[in-house]
Amino acid sequence: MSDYIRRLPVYLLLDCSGSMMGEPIEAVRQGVKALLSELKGDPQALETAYLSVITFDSSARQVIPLTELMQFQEPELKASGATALGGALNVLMECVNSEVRKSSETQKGDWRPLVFILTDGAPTDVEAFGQAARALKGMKAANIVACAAGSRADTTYLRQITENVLMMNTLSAGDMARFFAWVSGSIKMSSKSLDARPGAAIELPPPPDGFVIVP
Amino acid sequence: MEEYQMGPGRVWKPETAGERAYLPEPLEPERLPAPAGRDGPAPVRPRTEAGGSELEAAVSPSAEMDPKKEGAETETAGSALTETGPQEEKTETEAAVSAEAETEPKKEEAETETAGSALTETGFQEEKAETEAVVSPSAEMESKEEEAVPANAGAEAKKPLSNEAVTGHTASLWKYLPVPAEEPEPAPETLRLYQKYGGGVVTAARVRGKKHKHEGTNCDDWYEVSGFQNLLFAAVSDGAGSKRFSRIGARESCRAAAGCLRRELEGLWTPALAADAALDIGEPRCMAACTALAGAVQRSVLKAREAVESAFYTRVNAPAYEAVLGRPLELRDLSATLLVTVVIPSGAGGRLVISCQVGDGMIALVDRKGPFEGSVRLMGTADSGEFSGETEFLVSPKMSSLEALQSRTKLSWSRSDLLLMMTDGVSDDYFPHETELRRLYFDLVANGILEGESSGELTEERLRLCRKLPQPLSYPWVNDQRVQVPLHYTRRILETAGLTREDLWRDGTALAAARAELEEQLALPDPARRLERWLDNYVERGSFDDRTLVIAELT
Repeated sequence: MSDYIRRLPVYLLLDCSGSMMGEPIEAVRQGVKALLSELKGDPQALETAYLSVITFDSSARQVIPLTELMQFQEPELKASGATALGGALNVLMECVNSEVRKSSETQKGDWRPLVFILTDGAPTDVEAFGQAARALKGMKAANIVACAAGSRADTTYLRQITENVLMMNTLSAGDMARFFAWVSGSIKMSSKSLDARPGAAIELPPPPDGFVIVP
Repeated sequence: MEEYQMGPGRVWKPETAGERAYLPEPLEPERLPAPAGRDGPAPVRPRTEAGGSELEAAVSPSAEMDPKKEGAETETAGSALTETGPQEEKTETEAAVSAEAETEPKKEEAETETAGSALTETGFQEEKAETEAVVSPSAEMESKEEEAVPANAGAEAKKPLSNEAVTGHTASLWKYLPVPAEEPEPAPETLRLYQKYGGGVVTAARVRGKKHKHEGTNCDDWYEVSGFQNLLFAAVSDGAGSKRFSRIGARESCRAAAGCLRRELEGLWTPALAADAALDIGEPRCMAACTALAGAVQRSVLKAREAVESAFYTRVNAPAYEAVLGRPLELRDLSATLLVTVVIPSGAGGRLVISCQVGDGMIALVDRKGPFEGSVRLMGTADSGEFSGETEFLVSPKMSSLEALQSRTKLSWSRSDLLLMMTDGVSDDYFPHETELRRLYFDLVANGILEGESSGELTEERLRLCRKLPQPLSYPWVNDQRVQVPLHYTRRILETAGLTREDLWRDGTALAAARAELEEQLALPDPARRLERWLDNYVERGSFDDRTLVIAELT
């Protein structure tokens, strides 16, 4: 239908497990706030980017469905429980399947979704995680960036999901703020260079100081 | 197995997945600025696309098939060519039948008649279309405050926003930054061309997209138009947005393709070939002529590729490019699409059009005098993947052989009198093309770029219709926010006046009345300036790419 526009779907997968309690989860809240205010000043992002938040603790859920920026309201984030990252990946795949429009003869498809995963630990639903990670990698339906936050985060799991793994050394407010600033930079960059080749590595801005790209 | 919730309060189970369908944002006409002094009734939703295409599909092909036209559409010149879609085919046949009813018998006559009309009529005139792109500085427009500013971001947060609410909000956020002076080979801000030639008149323009203006980067689109006698050659290219020097690839490929085509056709084109090309497609001589012409088109694409390669080799060691990129220049930095078209009049008001397309964008023919159904014929199929923005480029390794180009070559005989070639900055706003390219044609008429069909007397009914038309919609010009540019949008006209696309096709009154309101637009001295101003100012949500449109009105 001609009324459709090409959207840039962005999914944030946020770890809300018990270990995030206190300063870290507050830093994530502030980060999401900052991300929104940054994107809401960018006309390209406003016209194209749609944002969704999936959180995971002992279970996983989409707390905000894919929503356009002008209408997006920050989710309430609370930390408790385990780390159902596998479950979060299943929710993600389900959401991508149902929310992201593919190109067809009569329909304008969306841009390839951007997914940012932030976790401070390792999945506790290891079996589900293994299956989901394989399925997700096989789908190649999204450009995924995973960020391991703090010393307890296990990058080997994240490497099963994506080639783009970042490591941030601490869970401090400062590092979290830098991470979300980088996410907003990545979204802006993606909404600008929307003609990336299929399967090609996504071009993202250089990671902030204190972050390491896991080789 | 844990349970996963989908959305607030909803439990996700893999089996019940897929119940959530995306609801399209409804257009909200009531949010549009109220037409001043016009008490319009509640806006009527336009007919859906689905309705339109069903209607088209329901039309049965005319019983009488003109053998010439029919044959022409199928399996032309063997493997070298791909025919256009069957849907257009049949309508074309209808049009051909009705229009040529009196000019029978044709077969033998076609040879002489065509040769006559194609060549002697124009008397081998000196080529008229030595076209050069007019580079204009940013056009000067009077600052004029219009009240019809789009509705601002909605207050009710929960309801999905209309696209106009979003573009109304973003309008003031777009910045204008000039092209950086220090980068090598800056691209001109705009290009435009208005040129009569032996086979018609060409109106073309190319503008820098809002994205590039906002970021202060170069426009990546290019086009070249050239002619020889009553033949027209046109090339359009869109440099990859993610590649900093793709504009060089776009420019070099267009120049090389248009230049090569001209040289080839100058050498190839003889009265005998012209006569052969106009023969029944079943004739071996016609087949041979078409193969020769299609071969010339394909060679021009290969030449364009070579030109981009050689442009790369002459720059690869130049420090200026490396300085901008922070690494050595690579061939893929010059990635661009390429659309090439040749228009050859083949007598009796018909013409042969051959095109070859690599990458996205669109080439289409419109039969303005024909019936509504099948009035648009697509001459290209954009390469695209499952997700948007996945396109092929001329420098892709697989574009290096003639074989690869054969499936991208299309050939059509028709009485279509309008050729449209565009980059995806325009074609994306008119999707799906089969139905929406008519809306492009209507937009061109409503904004004073093309002449509409002059309608007869102003009847009472027509006057009533005109009173229902929406006021033009104004957005601030990105280059200077103080300048408001009122333009018409066919979508709004259809909605507010309760018309269908077919209504507009049959009766040009509404479009003529709409265009009459655009005084500033009509005050511009030629259609190319109007086209440039329109391309530079029409607003569609999520549409901020460079825009190039080449229009050839064929006579």
